[in-house]
Amino acid sequence: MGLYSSISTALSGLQAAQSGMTIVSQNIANANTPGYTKKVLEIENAVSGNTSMGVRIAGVTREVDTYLQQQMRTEVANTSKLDVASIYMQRIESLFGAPQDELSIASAIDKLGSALQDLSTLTNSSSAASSVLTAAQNIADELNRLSDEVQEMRLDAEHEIADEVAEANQLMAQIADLNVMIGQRQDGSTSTAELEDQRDIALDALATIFDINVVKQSSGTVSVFTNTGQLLVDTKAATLSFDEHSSIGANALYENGGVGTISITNGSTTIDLIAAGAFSSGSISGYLDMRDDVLVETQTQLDELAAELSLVLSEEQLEGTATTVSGAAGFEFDISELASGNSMSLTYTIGGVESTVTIIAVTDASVLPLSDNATAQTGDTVIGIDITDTQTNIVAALNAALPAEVVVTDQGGTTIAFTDDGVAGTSDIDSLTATVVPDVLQGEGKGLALFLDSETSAAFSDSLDGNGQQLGYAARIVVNAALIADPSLLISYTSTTAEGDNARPLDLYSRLKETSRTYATDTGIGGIASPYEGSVDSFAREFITYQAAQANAIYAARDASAIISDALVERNMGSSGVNIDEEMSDLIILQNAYTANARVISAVEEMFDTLMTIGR
Amino acid sequence: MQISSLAQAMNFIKDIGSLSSKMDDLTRQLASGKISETFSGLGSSASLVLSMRSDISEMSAYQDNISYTQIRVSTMVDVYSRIDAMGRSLQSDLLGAGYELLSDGRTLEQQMAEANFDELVALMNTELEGYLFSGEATSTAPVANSDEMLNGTTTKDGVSQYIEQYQEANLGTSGLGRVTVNTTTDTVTLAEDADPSAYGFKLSGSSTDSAAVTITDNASSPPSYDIQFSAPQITSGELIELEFTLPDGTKETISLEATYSDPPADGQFTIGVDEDATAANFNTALTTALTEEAGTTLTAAAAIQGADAYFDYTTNDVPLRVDGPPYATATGTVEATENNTVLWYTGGDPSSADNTTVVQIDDGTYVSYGSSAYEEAMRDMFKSTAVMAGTTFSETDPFAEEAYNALSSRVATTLTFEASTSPADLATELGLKAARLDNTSARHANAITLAENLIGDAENIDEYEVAVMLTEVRTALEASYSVTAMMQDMSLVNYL
Repeated sequence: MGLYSSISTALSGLQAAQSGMTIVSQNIANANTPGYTKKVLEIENAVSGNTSMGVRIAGVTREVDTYLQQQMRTEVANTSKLDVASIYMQRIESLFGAPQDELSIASAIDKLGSALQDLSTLTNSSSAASSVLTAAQNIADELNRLSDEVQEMRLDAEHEIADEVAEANQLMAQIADLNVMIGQRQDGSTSTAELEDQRDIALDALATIFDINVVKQSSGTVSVFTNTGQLLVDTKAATLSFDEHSSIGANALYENGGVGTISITNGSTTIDLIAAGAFSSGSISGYLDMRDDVLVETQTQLDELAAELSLVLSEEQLEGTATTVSGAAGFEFDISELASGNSMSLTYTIGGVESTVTIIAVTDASVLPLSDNATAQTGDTVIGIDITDTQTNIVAALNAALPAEVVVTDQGGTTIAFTDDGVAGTSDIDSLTATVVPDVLQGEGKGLALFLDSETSAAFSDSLDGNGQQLGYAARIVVNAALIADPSLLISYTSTTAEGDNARPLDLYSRLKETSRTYATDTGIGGIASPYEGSVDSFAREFITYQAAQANAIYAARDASAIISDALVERNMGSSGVNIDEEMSDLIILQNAYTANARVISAVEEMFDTLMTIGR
Repeated sequence: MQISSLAQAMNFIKDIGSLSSKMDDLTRQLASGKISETFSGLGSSASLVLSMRSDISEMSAYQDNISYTQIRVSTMVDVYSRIDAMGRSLQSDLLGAGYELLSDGRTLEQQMAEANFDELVALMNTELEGYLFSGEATSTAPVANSDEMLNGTTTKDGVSQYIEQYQEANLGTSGLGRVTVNTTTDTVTLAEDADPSAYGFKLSGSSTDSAAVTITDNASSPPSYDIQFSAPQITSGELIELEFTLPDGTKETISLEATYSDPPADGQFTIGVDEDATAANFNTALTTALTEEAGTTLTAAAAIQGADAYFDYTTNDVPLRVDGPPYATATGTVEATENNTVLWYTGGDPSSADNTTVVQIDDGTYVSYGSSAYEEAMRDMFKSTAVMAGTTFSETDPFAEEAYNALSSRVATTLTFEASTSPADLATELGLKAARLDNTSARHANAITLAENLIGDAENIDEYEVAVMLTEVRTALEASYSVTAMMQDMSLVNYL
């Protein structure tokens, strides 16, 4: 051990202090750089044989808690999904206006009710009649607008998904590049800390888009998987492809390929990641939720509202005629009265047990057989008949679908009879009532087709043909042009109705505000086993309340998730970010170390000087 | 606490940001007075607010209905009250005043009746967003022009012509009231001139206190009585009474007393030398009595019949008129047409014109109040005023005064409305409905106030509370700012 070794030891200390200063200065300079992690100089005792030869710089490392990082990414993805949801909820809510402004669809229906009441007292006032039509026009416009806005929002979500997919592809490519660079430097002594920082930034950004699993490999690279296990990135990045649709209507659904899907191609196999369930959180999942669930449900609610509103005003009940067929009693009905979507309700009792069957007319045999859910009522059995088929086939189909105790007979013409089992006496036909939508505005009851389906220019009959007439009806509902041409039809329910007869406006009012109907459970309003029942105006209010409650739930979830993710981000930054005070105290230590090491060298120098003076 | 790491700085910024956005929201609340601009902001009250607003909209519509109806009902009550007063004054005038013809062959009371008739027409044609007394045909004036109704036009008959025609038909060519009197030896035969016939006297009974007279109802067609005188002769003071039914349903009795005086006084017949002579005298006395009865009561009853026929519609909504000309020999009626008669009522279906206007005043609660000029009380008023106004009398007619008195007493009886609904009854009935409307309206007003209060509670801020919260948030924000400023300086950097 000599003085020279002390100098070299002290020099190594100076070097270490200098390197430390470099790191501190870097840390301080980047203190406010997002994603920058605190760098730490790893030093160790340089041992040669069993003697310490000074200090050796082992390298620069980052302070990263990978568990915390993954936790943070998971929660940030969730927040990002809920952020998307809240933005869309705000947009949906803005459609209804402020509560005190009474601009909502429920208010529009109330206004129609008031206009009908006015007309009932001022039957020969043309302004009262046109007020009714204006109120109806407002409802149609409002439903059209809401439907358009909902589809617009779905299209926006589609665009956003495209943007997010592009962004994800870019990030994944970047991660793959960084992986390659980090992998190359792993064997050498070059620090990869800065590259890892960059990669983490990219991974954090990717995690806000969708939920990813990051697995660190021994080579220093990371592999990125979807939560369903599809490999996205290692040293090469997969490319997500999205077949963006440029227009979206109510009938464009994920199920029928009407909207884009995100897929990944691996060799010759293409995986639909949406179908695989790869997006359970992150912004893409938020947009998918909106596009495929929330907004589709909103459209369903609007369609149901438009449909029930049209039907309640226009439907008429026709009773079957009592008849006897070879000693068996029952009812007969002329099925030529039925248009597609119209129905007959048959109630019969077999052995004391009463059953209700709803027979729905269709003109598209491909939709048969119908599910019992084709009506909103619970407890009824649904039979579909193709009214374009021959009478013989219709009767045969009904006989096949109904119990043997209920006999269906062809009565000639277009009349069919439903009778009990006659002498056996085990069954009774209790009633046969048809619900039809008349295609004329006079002479078929006091109801009125105030609204039409613009696609068929006919009254809405809730036809089940194809995708069903109800799908997207809110966008197509219009006020009946025949009424605009002749507003007196609002009064004249027959060709001889007196001008002062207000039976029709009063009847329409009661249909609008009092007639209770059952609403389809796929609207999400009401339970599956207990569908929502009430007047059309109450359903409109329920619709808004439902949307408000849904928005509140999402806002609350978003706030809760934001608190958690903010806390995680803070903890993550606290553990891996730069703290100026720490750096400052490190600086003092380094300064002291530098001064001390320098002092050692100058002491050695003095000692050499002393040594030299001895020789004089 | 200090700001030495990015995380801490960001945390501060976030906290301050959330405080200041809270302050923004409170300021907005204070400015707008509303808790929220969206339904979700109302939380669980959203449903209540929506349903309260719907209730208010419904009740406001009902209130509008009620106020329209109240205006109409009170106008109708006014009309009925006026008509009631008119009827009363006409009635007392008819009972009180004497017979004094003016230049146009009518009395002052008849001229007043015409003025009343004109006013009645005007009242029944009251228009208030549609005609009030036209049943459901609210855009059609219910009653025709009063002059045309009364006097007809060049081609169409009015009520005056009806009265004249019915009078002519009832009196017949002989002026005896469509009966014939013939004598064969000792038997006088009194017979109606046709069967069936809608006009003239109808034999409806006979009696005598004389053993010398046998009255036989021949039960023939046309109906006839044989009055046979037998020996020993009828004695002075004994009576023969013949009862007739008049076309307005009233009955008149011709009572002839046997006397030995010659010539006999009015209402008497002279007992002749034998039964045949007595029969001939009776024939003469009966003819005189019939002529007088026909000129007075039958004339009045025919006027009433004519007015009734004009104002009461058949199921085909037209009056029945005398099947003629010639009218004096007519036996039946025919339905009028709009080409030969001024149809007085042209409003909604007369068979169902009452209470046809239905108004909804609450959920499931309706009030019906409609009325028409065809209502019985109104028709009675029309008939009474028209029959007085449309019948003329002649100074030279010896029976005119008695005919006038018979007519005015009949009209005065009708105007008592003893057995039928009077205009005052109609006014009372509507008054009850008006009271119901008032009550319902007041109830709605209360309910609306209550609902508005509930909405206010849910939607509006408590200004005091918001102001206090705003102060709190402001204090917190100011404190944060100053602490942040202090923290900014509290870094080791500054102390090295």
